[in-house]
Amino acid sequence: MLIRTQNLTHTYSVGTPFERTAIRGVDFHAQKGEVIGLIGHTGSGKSTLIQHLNGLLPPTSGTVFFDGEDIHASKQTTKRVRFRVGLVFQYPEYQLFEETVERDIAFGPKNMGLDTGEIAARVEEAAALAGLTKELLQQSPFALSGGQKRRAAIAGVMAMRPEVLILDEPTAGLDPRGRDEIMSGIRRFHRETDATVILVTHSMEEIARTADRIVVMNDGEIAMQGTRNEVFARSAELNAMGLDVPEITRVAMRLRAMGLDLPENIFTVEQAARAILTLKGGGPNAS
Amino acid sequence: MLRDITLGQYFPGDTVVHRLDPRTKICMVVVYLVALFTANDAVSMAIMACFLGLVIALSRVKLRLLLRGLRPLLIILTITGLLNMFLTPGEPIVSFWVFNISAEGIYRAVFLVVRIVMMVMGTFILTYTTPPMSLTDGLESLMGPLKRIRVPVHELTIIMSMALRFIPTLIEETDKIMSAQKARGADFETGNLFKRAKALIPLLIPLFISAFRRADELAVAMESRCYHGGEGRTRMRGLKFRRRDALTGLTGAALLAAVIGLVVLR
Repeated sequence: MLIRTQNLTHTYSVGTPFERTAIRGVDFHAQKGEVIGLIGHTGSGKSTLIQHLNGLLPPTSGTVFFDGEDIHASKQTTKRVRFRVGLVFQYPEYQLFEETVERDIAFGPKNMGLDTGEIAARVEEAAALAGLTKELLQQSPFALSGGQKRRAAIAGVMAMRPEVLILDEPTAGLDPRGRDEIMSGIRRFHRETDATVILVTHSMEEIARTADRIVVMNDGEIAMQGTRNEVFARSAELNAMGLDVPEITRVAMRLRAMGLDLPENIFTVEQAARAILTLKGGGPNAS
Repeated sequence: MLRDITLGQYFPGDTVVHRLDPRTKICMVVVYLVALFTANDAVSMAIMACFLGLVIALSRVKLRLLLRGLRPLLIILTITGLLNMFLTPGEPIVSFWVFNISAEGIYRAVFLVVRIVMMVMGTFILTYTTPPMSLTDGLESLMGPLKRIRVPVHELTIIMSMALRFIPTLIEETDKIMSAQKARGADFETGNLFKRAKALIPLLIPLFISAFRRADELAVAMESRCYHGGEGRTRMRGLKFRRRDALTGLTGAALLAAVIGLVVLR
């Protein structure tokens, strides 16, 4: 187990009238190379949970283990874990500050104390993974488009070569093309580094397409977890939590209710297209 | 955590103190401060302390919150106390090397520290129990007469209310950017002064950029709702004096009279 939390609880603003427990007794775990989709309604505690995984928030009670070691064992441990668990916040483009994209991506590796050659190599690698061209690297981050800024910010975390990459709604507020570019960058990173990826999102389509395992949070607790088959089969429960199954799954469900003999595990448009073609007798390769 | 800063913060509640007209509260704070600085002996100070205690009890503001607000003043309080203790001339009761501590010195030190603490607590009760918006509404109403001599009262108060409104937002933003940079290994806590100042660059640049962006957006939002200054502007919730405000005013007058009386008669 690469990351594990044990009975993790976090309370904000202890001792003021604004006191609020965001997560309660959470036992979360992630294995090496796994892609986890973390879903839950707004305020369900997703963001609080992920900020514990790299030690940014100290637990009110409970423990976070990385590679079997308590990440708050000492200040050095926490600092080391920060580099091994990369966290991309919501709207990460607001953290850009350097004069050029290249220097901004280099900020993380520089803080790790790497030498110039290694930093340059990592910047190049991260930029390629995030889909940024060489010309963009020399521009000011503030001159880029929204989607490019977002990718530059994500590259800044990828450049630390984290063993776990956590992204908090990486596609929020982007157009479809921007979303696709971000998601394919994340998949590319996962493929090439075999890092664990934890993806927080409200888009069931992205989850269905990317995640090996889905963890559902509700009111500060883990409500369910499992493969997409297991989780999306419980659509009534998901609805009760203010969540949903992917749109195409709903379409397939309706078609099934209307008497079409479609399989139950349809989560992407491609699967649906194949299933319908098979049904029509044409087979998956006929057109 | 940054977001635990209490400066200028409002803690919702539903007590007599919370319900008072903001103008009454502002005037009471002025009266309280005048009385506090008029009071110059133990008896009048005790009266002031009783009054403060009564208001704290009525407002149900937690004592711990008031004390936490004092924390940034700790250094000033200590220096004030020590200077007064050592530098007040008088019959020394303890003396070593060049320092003399006299009974008068101790008395003065305690007196001044108590006075500062009470001053800060009194003003904190105002901000803790009054939403920023009613605070600025109250100020605008009180400064109304200044409009006659062409002081831009409305503009000043709207600037103030916006500043107050954005303090929590900016604190939250700072917190967020700080976390994001920390996640990239930024270190805001160690190193010498120069190093720490330099470490702030990745925090300050994004913060300024987002503050300007917010200001821009706010201006557009206000203009698109046809805001054009205070001329002819009406309020949704008008301020209204009630009986409790009159009673509070009387109490304030009585307090001031008592303290001045004690000082004059002595």
